[in-house]
Order: sequence, then C-alpha cells, then structure tokens
Amino acid sequence: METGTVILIVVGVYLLISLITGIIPGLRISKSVDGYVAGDRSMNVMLLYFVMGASIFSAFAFLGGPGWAYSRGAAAFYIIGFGVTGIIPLYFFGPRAWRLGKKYGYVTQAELLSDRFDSRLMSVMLAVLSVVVFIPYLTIQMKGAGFVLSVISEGRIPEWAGAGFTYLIVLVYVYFSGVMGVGWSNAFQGLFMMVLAWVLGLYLPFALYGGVGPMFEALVDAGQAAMLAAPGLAGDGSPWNWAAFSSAVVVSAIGFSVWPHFFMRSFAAKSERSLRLSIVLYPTFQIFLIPILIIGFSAILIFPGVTPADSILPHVLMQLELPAIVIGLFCAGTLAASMSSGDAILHSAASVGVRDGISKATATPVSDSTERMLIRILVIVIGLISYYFAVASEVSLVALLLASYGGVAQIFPVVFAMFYWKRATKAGALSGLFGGMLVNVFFLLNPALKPWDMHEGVYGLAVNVLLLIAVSLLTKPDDPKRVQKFMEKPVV
Amino acid sequence: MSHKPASRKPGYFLFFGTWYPNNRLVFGLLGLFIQLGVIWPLYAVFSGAEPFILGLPLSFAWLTLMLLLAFAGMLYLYITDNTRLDREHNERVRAQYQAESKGQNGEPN
Repeated sequence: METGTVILIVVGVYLLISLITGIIPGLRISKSVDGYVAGDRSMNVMLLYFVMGASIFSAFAFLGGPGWAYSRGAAAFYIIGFGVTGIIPLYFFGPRAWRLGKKYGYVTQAELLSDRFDSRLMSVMLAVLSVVVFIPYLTIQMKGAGFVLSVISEGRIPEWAGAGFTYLIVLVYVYFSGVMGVGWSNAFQGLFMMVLAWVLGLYLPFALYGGVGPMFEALVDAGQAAMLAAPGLAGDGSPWNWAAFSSAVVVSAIGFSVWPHFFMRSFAAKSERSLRLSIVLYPTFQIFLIPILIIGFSAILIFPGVTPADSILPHVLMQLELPAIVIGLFCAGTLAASMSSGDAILHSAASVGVRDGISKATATPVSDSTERMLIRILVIVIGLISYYFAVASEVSLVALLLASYGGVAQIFPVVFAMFYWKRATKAGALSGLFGGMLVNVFFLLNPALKPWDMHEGVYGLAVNVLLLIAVSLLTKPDDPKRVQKFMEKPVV
Repeated sequence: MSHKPASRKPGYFLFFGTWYPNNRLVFGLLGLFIQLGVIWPLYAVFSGAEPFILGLPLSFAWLTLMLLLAFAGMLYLYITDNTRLDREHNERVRAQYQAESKGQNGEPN
C-alpha cells in the first residue's frame, strides 16, 4: 500500500475512535448544566487522572517541548520544573472546592470566588480573563493539528483543512457530551500519547546514537556541554540567567493549579478521595515529558539548523524513512495531544463565559435548559474565533501563551485567601486581582521597564498580594457566616 | 482562636492559632526542598552537564529526582491523610456508640 494511504488510514481510525469515545458517554449523563459542566460529579480516579493529565499536555508540549530542547537545551527543563510543585496546591484546594460544589452546586472556579467575596464584578472579571487566556491556547492547538497534518501529507492537506476537520470532530463531541465526552476521549488520547512518547523517546536515541547515554556524551564531545547545563540558553543562543529561569518556573507553578479549566475538574470528581488520588498520581503523567525532551536533544547534532525549531519532531520523522504506520501513529498522537487540550479548553471557556460572564453581567436568571443551550452556542462561537486566528493570523501565539501564565497566576492569591484567610475582604480581593493583572499586563507590554530580568508575573503577584493584604486589613471584615462556609476542613 | 483547646492535640501541631496534622509539617519541608531544587539556588548546585547519571546529564537527572521525590511526597501525604481521617472517623463513631449505650442524650462529640 502507498505510504500516504497508510498514514491517512491510521489517522482516520484514530479520529473515528475519538469521536465514538467522545459521544457515547454523553448519552448517559443527565440533561442538566451539572451534567454538562461537571459530569454529574461522577468521574472516577482513572477518568479524572487522564482528564487532568491530558488537558495540560497539549500540542505545545508535543511540538514545543522537543523544539525548546533542540534550540535552547536545558531551558526546556523549565517545562518539567514548574509542574513538579505546581500540582501540589490542588491537593489542598481541590477537596475543599469539591465539597462546596457538592453542597451548594458550584461548577466553576469563578462561582466559588464570587460567592466568597460577594461580588458579581469578580465573576465577570474572571470570566473575561479566562476567555482571553483560553483563546490563544485553543488557537495553538488548532495550529498544531493543521501543521502536523500538512507536514505529514507533504502539503496535500492544507493547514486550514487539517485544523478545520480535526476541530469539527472535537466540536461535535464537546457539543453533545460536555465534560464526560472530554473525559472518555482524553483517557483514550492520553494513553495513546504516553505510549508514543516513550517509544519515540527511546527509539530515536537508539537509532541515531546507540542509546540515551551515548547521545548525551556525543553532545558533550561536540562542545555542547553549555547547552546541557541548567538553565540552558536564551532565545538568542546566549546563556539564560537564573533569575529569568527561576521566576518563570515559580510563576508557572503558581498559575498551574488555578488554570480555570484545570481547577474546575475538581467538581467533576466522584468523591474527595478519588480526587485526591488522581492529583497524587499526576506526576506519573508528567514523567512522559522526559522522553519528549529526549526527542529534541536527539536531533541537535544530526539535523542542525532546522527552523522553526518547533517543527523538529515531524522533520526528524520524515527524514528517518520510518514505516508509514509509525508516522501515522505519530500524526495521530500529536492530534491527540492537540485535541485533548483543545476539547477541555473549548468546553471550559464556554461554560465559564456563560455561567460567570454573561449570566452574571446581565443578572437575569435563566433556566437550566437555556443555560445549557447558551453554553453550546458559545462552544461554537469560541471554536470559530479560535479557528479564525489559527488560519488567518501570523501573531506569535506561543509567546502569548507563555505570557498568559502571568495572568492566570494572579488568580492564585484570591483562591488561597478564600480557603485560608478569614480576614480577606471583597475590596481586598478585587483590588489585589485587578492591580495584579494591571501590573502584569504593563510589564508584558513594556519589558524594558522591568527593574530586574524576571517574569512579569512576579511583579504582578507582588502587587496583588500586597494590595490583598493591605486593603483587606483596612476594610471591614466580610460577613463571618459566609466566610466560615469556605474554611471548613475535610472530614472524610 | 480562643475556642480551640490550648492543650496539645496528639498528632497535630499549632500554627498561627490553627491545629494542623503533623504530616503537613513533613510534607511542607519536603515541598520547600523540592521547590528550591527546581530553581536557584539549589538547582544551581546540581545544574552541570556532567557527571552522567544513568545516561542523563546531572541537570536532567536531578530534575527527574525532584519529580520522583514530589511523587513520593504526595503519596506519603495521601496515605497518612487517609489513615488519620479513617482513625478519626472510627473514634467519632465509637464515641457516639458509647454515648448512646450509656443512655446519655447529650450531643456526641
């Protein structure tokens, strides 16, 4: 059979399985918003584990991870570094959020926060922030999917068609099944990605150098030792500095656990224990970044000068004359990475946009079925906006995504205060969040004005925490009865 | 918090007026170590390309170790939390049972 045909068959089978695993679970959940957004709070450990793992590992990890290792060496360790501690806060926040959700019916992060601080403005602010950071994230996933299909088919499938077709499938199962569709397709896609990452990450060094050890030795012998020493190289090839590396790791670690789509998975858990267990098992998913980075390192000496660096993985695969089935599997694996993040983001962006944005801003009560319909409409609208950016714009979206971590991290102090600091007040939380976001955006747009070469999120966080504490202490305490509800400890 | 008992609570420690289970202290120290291990200054000590450990450069091997340590730490937290919560649950049930069998009608504690 012709190579192209085999690849297309493998990809086609994969997409079909994704579609089926995405739609079937939706037939069983209830026709309510709870069912659509939080899966009737019925996810077991395995499902939740894959949803959490897969929704963070995206086309960016699959293409950008090797790309960074290839072009900037040890700087890529940052991608592993922030997740190591970044997941820990969720072990403490998650069960508290879950209990409140079960008792009072919350399904999003903004609902919790706006209730604790008695502020509709906060809800709308968080909804806007979420949708703003979600759209570039989704756009990257679409671009990744289109890009891979186009490279592998040697241009026969144009990028717009690849991205469009892939995301049409995602749209269908997110539209019909909500979070349970995301869950089951992610379980399938996650397993697929893990296997593929390990196979490729071990196969490439063995095929090219005779092993992982010999590969790194060859790099040192070739005078690339500086590249392997942390914190690696900056974008221009000069050594990166520790302040920039450390602050990027810290800001991303802080932002990691409060990503709205990640945080709100807590509400979908079946029980507190299954939630805690899936969080504890999370690092086993992270280990799969190790072979991913090894793929990038393996290409440094053999294929120098590939641009853009993000295309290194498909580039290597096309050069190696691998069997068509392997290329097909890789192609499907990258689509899996892209789709598993894309579906979760699409679903969360729409849920948050409607529940926390539109319905809070207009303050008119809507019925469950209207709300469910609105969410579905927004799924399509956000999908189309992102698709427009994916095919029509040339904006550097990876830069936007990395920057969006600075914005997301600003949510952390208020979430922490909600659960642990009685004295935090509405005025304090609002001014902290607003001030933090403002400073973050200011230094993002004016990097030359930064006092030290650190991630702009650090400055935002400093102002955020300062304002939160100072303004809270200067204002009257919030209603203790309402505050107490958010401070209760786990009992089971 | 004045309503909290001033006397020692076995298996807990006092921090800013709130009692926390002891495993939080162990985990907190480990977490601090790991956090410093992935940024400056601690990571800077183990940031070189050489020596190689199991075929990986020192910087990569160290990061892998931090990842495994974080996993071990969270497993420890999960297991000790469950043991404590189960024990406290059993104690509550037993206390309630004893209170009922004695014929007391006060609120079980």
